[in-house]
Amino acid sequence: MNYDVNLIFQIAGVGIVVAMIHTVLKQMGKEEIAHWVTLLAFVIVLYMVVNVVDDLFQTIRSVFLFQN
Amino acid sequence: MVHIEILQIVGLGLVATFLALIVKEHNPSFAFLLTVFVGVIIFIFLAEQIANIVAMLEELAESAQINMVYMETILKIIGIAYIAEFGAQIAKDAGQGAIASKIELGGKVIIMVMAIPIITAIIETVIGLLPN
Amino acid sequence: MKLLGAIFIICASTGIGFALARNLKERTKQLRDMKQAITSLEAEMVYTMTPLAEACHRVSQQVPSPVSTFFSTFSDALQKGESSAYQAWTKSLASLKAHSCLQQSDLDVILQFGASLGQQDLEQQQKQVKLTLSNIDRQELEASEKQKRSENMYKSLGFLGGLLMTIILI
Repeated sequence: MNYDVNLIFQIAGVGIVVAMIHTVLKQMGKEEIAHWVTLLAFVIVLYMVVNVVDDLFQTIRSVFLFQN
Repeated sequence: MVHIEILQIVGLGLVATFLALIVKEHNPSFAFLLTVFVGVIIFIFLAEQIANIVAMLEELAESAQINMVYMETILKIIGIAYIAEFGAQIAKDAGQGAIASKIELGGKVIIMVMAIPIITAIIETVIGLLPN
Repeated sequence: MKLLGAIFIICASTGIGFALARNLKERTKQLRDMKQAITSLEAEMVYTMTPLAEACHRVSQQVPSPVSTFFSTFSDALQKGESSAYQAWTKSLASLKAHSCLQQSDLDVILQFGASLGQQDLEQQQKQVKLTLSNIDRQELEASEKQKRSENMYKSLGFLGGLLMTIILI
């Protein structure tokens, strides 16, 4: 398990902090900005996750499908 | 050696479960990404373990002098089942049961297609055995 | 090393948030100072009939920093006598803009007041002062409302933004 398990905590941390920013901005009546911030953070985290999914597919290909 | 690895998987799963529980309250989409991420890590881990089994199977097949084409096909089928299972589980986690069942259907159909050469070979053998 | 960088980033963004919040607070305070300054300028002009340059010099000693600098530059320019009152007023206003937290709408009100300065008789001047004071009052009300709404937001946003950045970068 040589994977960076820190990434899990990173994703959870981003989620919590973004939720707090969302709450603060919403309280001040700036909902559009709040939504943009959430979307941006979501895209960043999605990028990390997609990288790992790509890794998984490469591993499966090399193990089962005999392709590199 | 193996028992340590199962502890790793369970520990990872528990930590991720707690974190997802906390994040879900505020931000469900991030909790979902977290779940996907942990699922991928565990799957990669398992794939690395399966690689050992596959290597052993290949050795056995070679020493038994089975045609490698059949062996490869079977392994590919296992791989397809694995990928389809993964995708279906992620879709189910996100609450998209309909998409999950479509992915499973796709996996079944493609496995069927991959199995055609083996089925043909079996049928040909059976027909060859039958007296004319 | 990583921890040090994280602390730097969080401190910096928290600082930015606090600076923005302070700007809002300063604007309300400076508007209040400006109001006080104009009131005492009116008193100087109406009751003791001091000439404008002298009156402004005295006013500049009664109010706190950015506004006092404005009045002292203005009175200096007037005493040198190289330009008209309005030109001197505009010039000092430009330097005030650079050194204070006032916004363009606040400066416009003050500029309008300067246009009438030293051109009319006392009664007109007093009316002008009243008008300007009520205008500044309105601006101050708006500023304090905005301060109440956004001060805490800027502070917490600064900190949370820094935290987010460190989490993503780590």
